[in-house]
Amino acid sequence: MKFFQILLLFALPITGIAQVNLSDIQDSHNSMNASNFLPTYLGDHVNKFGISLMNTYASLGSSFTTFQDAKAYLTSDQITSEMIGNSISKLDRNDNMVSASLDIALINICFNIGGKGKKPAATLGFGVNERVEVNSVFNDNLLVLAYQGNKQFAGQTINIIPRFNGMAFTEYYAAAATDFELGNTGIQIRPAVKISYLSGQANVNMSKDNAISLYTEPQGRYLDFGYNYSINASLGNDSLKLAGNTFNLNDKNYKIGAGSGLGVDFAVRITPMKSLSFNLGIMDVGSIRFNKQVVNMYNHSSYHYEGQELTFSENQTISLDSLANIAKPNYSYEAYSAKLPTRLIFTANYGMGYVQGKKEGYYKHQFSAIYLQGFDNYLSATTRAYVAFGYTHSFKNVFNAGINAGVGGVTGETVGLLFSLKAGAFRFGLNSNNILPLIIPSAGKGADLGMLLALAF
Amino acid sequence: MLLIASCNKDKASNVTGDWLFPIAKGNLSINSLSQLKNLNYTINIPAQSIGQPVNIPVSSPGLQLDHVGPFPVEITDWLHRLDVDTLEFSGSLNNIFPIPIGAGTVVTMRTSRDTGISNIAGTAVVSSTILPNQAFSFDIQVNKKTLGDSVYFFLDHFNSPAYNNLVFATSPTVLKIKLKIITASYAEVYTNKTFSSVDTADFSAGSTDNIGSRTNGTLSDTSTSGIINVFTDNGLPANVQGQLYFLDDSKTQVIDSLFVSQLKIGGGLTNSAGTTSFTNSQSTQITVNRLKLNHISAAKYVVSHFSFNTIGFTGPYVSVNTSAYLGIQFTGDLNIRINF
Repeated sequence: MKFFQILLLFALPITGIAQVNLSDIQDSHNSMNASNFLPTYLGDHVNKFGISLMNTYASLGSSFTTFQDAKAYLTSDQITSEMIGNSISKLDRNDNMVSASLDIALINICFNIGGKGKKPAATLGFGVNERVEVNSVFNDNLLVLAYQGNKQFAGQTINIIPRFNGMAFTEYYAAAATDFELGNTGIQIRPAVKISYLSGQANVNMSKDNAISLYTEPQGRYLDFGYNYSINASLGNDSLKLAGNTFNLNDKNYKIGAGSGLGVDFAVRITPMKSLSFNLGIMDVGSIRFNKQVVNMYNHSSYHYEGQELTFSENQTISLDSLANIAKPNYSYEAYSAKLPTRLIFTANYGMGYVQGKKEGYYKHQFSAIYLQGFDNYLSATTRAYVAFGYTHSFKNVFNAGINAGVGGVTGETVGLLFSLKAGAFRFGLNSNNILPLIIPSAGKGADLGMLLALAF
Repeated sequence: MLLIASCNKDKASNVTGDWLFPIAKGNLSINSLSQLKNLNYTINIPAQSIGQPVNIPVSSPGLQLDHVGPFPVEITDWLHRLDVDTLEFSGSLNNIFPIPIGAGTVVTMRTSRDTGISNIAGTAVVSSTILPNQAFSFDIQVNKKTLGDSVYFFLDHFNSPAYNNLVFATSPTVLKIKLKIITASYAEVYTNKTFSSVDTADFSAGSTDNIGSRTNGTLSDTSTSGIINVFTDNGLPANVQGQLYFLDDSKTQVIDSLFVSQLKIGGGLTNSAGTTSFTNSQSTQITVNRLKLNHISAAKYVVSHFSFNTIGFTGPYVSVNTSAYLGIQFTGDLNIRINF
């Protein structure tokens, strides 16, 4: 799948952020996209049947570079040493992250089935999503080394390897959710699960314990290199192809791709009262085993370098290039597994100003909160917790407008907006968790944009 | 940001950093001395040495001489003793005599003048008759021999068929010898002597991409200033003066030299077995500018010239074995500007 491979390759140096989209959660028109990461939202605000097509969410960001910095690099006539130094000075000593993601919900379908009266007994969902996620985590050593040389590290051992991960895969899922009352308490419980068959298309995988260490002897008389890294890559073919300016879906086939696997999302909703609900979920549990066009690059060795060896004999060839050759990896071609970016999600929704419409009720004021916690700095997950709050005002349940703000995650502070329109069965919308670069370019380190295009009956 | 900067080829960018790294390292020992790799001798064998007068007609029923010689040659003027592990002994015998030199004649190298067997260091047997004005070449390997300051060449079992009324000229038959010490285990060097070692090596300072940029030439490095440190650890019983000359691809034009004047290295000490008992360690800093570094980068060959002297050392000679060496290491402490 050339498009995603190209995106994967080009996205690596792009600063980025990937978050679960709070704007989906706080917008009652957008429950179909919200259910992609919390299946408890499956079928919410849908009467019988809902379908969404080509809903796309893209995010970009980093933990250290503002959009103002990026713009300066792209527009200035000369990239000066001072500019680079200024950027490097903003790096965290140990933990810098860049990431990007692109989710294309090609088709999502949900059904509310059975039940007495207006309340469905269960909700079923099916769909196909394309996901591309890349990220990199690194300390400042490599860039500081490249910028200022190794003399500053004389007598020290530094780790200079960045960690790259990237994965493109197709998610074919089935999801289900149901409601029951906890005894006679009036508290509604809604467990939900989403099980996905995953067709991996491209992957670059580095574990977090990878290391390339460099020790510089104080007088420069030797360099000690320590290699302990394994980089797995699989860049195969897939059915989704970019033909001209359009995606060709006709070739989609379960059998092709660079790997396959299973993924599961678990979630539960607790609704103690009609206006208040809590959702707790774990998303992206599982892995993909890549077994086609696999390359394993590894080096687990050390190298003590004291310079080009001189023999002081006739006919010797002295080449000072030898240092460039010592880091060359070994290669093998064994299948490997790449985990999904597992995250814990907690959300809360509180509505005020309930209005009962002809077909469904809605809240004029909707307050939402999200807590997102990854278990690794990997793809769209980060161990830096993200907390955000949002408010959405519904104008007659036709036009929704909202705002949200958050802290944490990869980029730190975020400010977002959403707009959505419900016209009969049609639902359209645009939303974002982070438009801070548009407001304060010197502070915004990331941006994202999501779209809504759905039909619900 | 460096990645973004490096991707933007239309905008000149650079970063400047201080880099500390080893450049090259090597050891000089008795087995590194170029002078012992190319010892050439030309020995004239006059007609008188085979008992024949010159410029008058002579006749003979044939010659059968057990030994012709000795023809002594001094290996060098500074070696007192050399224990050879492996020696390449080659040469040619160019017959200028008007008579053939018969098969079975032996070119013999001895370690002393006497004509015994025990002092034979190497032999080359003439396999077929050498007619007048023809030559016999040989190349043999000799192992485990102890040589003094001189070696002695003979033509053993010299034989020639009968001849009548032949006139021997004054021009001698010529024995050309080349000795190449492949490895030696021990040497004794006279004190108050000077000797040298000169080697030429192909040289490449590295292309811009091979230095590590991997950008197909879009990333280049230019060092503006810095220091090359030279660390020496001399365990040889000799004072040393060294210089490195950088040559262009014609191999004749010196572009630059590493040291402004010769690098001077104080001698170490060895015991009677030739093992180092004192290592003289020192370091020297060479300030280099961009011009010198450009010269080094442009060089295709480097000539190392080391001059050794045993002046001032006690005793008639100093000893050295293979464990004794002069260690030299070059390190860079350079301010390098990397251009994108």
